Amino acid sequence: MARKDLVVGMAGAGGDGVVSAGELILNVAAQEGLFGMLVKSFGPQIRGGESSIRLRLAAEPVLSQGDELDALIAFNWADYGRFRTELVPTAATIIFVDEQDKTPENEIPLPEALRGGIRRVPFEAIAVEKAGTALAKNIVAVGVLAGALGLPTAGFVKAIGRRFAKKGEKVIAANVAALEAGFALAAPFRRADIHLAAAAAGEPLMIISGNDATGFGAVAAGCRFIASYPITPQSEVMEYLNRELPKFGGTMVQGEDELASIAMAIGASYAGVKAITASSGPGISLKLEAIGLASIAEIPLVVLNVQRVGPSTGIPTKTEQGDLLQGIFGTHGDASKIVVATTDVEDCFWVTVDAFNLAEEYQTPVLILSEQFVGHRTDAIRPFDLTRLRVAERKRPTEAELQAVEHRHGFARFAHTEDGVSPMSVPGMPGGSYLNSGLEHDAYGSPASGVDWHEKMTAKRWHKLDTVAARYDHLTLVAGDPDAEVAILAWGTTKGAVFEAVERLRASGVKAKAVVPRLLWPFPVARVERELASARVIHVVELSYSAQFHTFVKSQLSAELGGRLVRHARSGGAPMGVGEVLEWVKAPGRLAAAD
Amino acid sequence: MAHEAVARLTVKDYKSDLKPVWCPGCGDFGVVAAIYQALAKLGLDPDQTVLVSGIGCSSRIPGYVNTYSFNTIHGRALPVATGVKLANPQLTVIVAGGDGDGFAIGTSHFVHAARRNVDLTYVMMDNGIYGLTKGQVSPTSPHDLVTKTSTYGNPEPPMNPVLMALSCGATFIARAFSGDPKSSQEILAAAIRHRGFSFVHMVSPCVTYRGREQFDFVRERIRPVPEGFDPRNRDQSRAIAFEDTEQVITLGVLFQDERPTLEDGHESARRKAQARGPFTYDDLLHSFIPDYQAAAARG
Repeated sequence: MARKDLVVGMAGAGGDGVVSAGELILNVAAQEGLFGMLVKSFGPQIRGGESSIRLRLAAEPVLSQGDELDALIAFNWADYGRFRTELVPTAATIIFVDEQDKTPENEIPLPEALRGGIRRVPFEAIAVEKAGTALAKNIVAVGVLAGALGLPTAGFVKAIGRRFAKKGEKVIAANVAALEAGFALAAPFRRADIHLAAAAAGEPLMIISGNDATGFGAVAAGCRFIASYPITPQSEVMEYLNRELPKFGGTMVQGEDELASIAMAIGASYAGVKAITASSGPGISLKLEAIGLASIAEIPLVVLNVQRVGPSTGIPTKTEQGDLLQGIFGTHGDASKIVVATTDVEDCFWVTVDAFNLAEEYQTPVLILSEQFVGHRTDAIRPFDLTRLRVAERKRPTEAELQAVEHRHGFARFAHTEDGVSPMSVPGMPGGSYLNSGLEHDAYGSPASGVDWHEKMTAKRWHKLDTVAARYDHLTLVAGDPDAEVAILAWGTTKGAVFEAVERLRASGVKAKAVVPRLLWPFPVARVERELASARVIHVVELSYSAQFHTFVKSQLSAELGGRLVRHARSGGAPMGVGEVLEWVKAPGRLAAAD
Repeated sequence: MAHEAVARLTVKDYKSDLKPVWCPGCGDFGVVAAIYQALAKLGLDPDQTVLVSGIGCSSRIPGYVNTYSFNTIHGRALPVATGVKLANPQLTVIVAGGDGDGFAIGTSHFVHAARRNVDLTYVMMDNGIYGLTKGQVSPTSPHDLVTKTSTYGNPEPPMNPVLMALSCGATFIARAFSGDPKSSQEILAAAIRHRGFSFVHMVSPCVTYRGREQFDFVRERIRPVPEGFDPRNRDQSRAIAFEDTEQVITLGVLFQDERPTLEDGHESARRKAQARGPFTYDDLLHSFIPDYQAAAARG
């Protein structure tokens, strides 16, 4: 049976061109209509350190990074060794290493059983021979992979032509020669079980990272202001908006710190411009006080947290889901807010659009929980259908309402309304002037330290969120059998592995489904309970050692459903894999349907 | 137009009906009175004016002025105001706050707002004490001052706000005294009129925690800028900025300069970005499709 997907890994030193080789393959594959996911991993060096890629290509949209490697290229074993836990070969993996690597056999960082099958290939020697430079060894490697996995060379030849267009015909010809030499070299190792190209639909796809998709989503939602402070793994979002917002009349400010950045975004939105501030864990911790200001002052605001491994500095370049409870409950006081999560690259666009719409409609801070795993990875996916774009604006007072304002009191910005959302005037609007405040206040914004106003206004700020779950029902994702006996409940980027695990469970005859709420607060209790009703066992899968999601959903769901929850929590670093989800779910006594 | 006069506004048009929470005799009464006078003098439209503050006694000021006002959180008034100004450069933006708000918890924002030359006016009301929290030492408290958190005398020297403003790049620096409403309102009006970051070091005594003698102390030391003083002469400004305010407190416009504002910088970025425009969301989408033109041609 022909395989529908393939997974390759590559590792090398800085200058080996590992990442650009991965990008080249993804680029060509996308033009051939192949979907893909490219996960990059780097050492701690600022520049020039070791790097690795893991690339999965498929004829259908790619859900996860894939468990087993079909091919692995190591330019040297020392650099590969740093990624050995991320790129684990099996007996079926074709393993290539550069002939020049002189690591003694017993020091090769692979299980002994696999060492015999290593193919030693003269990547660098061929690069020097064909292209006149060792720099072309990644092109040789691309040729080897194309040959071994049956990818057509025509697309690569065109891509090389585009990439080296400025360097002239001679350089192009040299690189094409390097590619073809690699391709020829791989012929004996051809994997006959993989016929990926044949499955390609030929539809051009887009290649985009999660962070770029978030930036694009912000622009499309009408955001025209971002203030942020550089932090890994968020910086690409502010860089994207720095480049693109001015084209649409917007502004990007690099704040002097995280506190200034969120304060500027609050100021901009108070003055009527949709605004975002983006950060990661350490920066979000600093922003919490100001999130509370946006909450009590009822200011639409989007705060992005591209989560990384914590606490403290943690591992800035690796993923984790450890900021969930901080996101929902972290701000001091009973701060009403909305929390949404992205689950994949496309979500980074659409969930960001939803976040801005929610902020405007409910006049409240909206926190987007994204993750390093999605922010930093690059996917080949179908282009976003922009005809689906819906953009909301905040409720504003009418001319008549403003003319009726009694001068001495100013505009009643926080006036009681049925749905709790009061019309919001912005500076410059004649007759709309009012006092806004982080102090508890009355309908006019005047400080009110009486218990009655605090009770009334707290209730207002929470009551207005009552309709969020029903109106944004599409934010809850469900896959699998409607009457599933086994359910997996997950959030964020673990969705990919969980959805794929459910497919495999169903293929093996288990009635299974996955439920992944992208709206986390207010939690869509009714919908999630309905979806889980048929399940006899509910596996809660997450990248949080302290099982924050499990703790959270247990507090939200009925006691009956809560009793069916089984926790599968581990610390982050590596993204969730399909294999480990299946291992957990199928563990003795856990697979309700089978037991 | 930010400073365009609207139909004959008087002081009472800028007064809100909230009663200040300040102690009787507080210097801040003089400041809010001077703000009303300055706004009336400039005829600023309250709907085109935004008054932002942080936290502290003086940060209550937005509640007492009938403009768009925003009483934010401790130390963050300047960045909130920066966001307001960038969102709508047509607005007149005024920031008020105390020495703790601006020169302790919010210090870094002062440095960068001055450097960026945001077109706003920052009135720092300096009483050298934390009044709202009832009498702790502040970054502008004199050395040896006894307070609730400097029982044996302040072990630290005070900072010098005017010198700091000068070194950070403020383009308008003045000092005023809340006990002298007439010169205060003139200085405030000049500060608001200035295009760029205007800093007014407003000496505003705290009768409760520094005692009435703080008024006397200031009165004994104030003096106008010397005859022939030119705020555009850096050497002269520098000499005044280095003065020890325990000895002499010079009032008036101490420094003035012109350079592009933060809003100018962003406007210029937008012009460059839009030179090859206009742009659509489809352009952004297509930028992610490799070789989009060729792909489109293939259909």
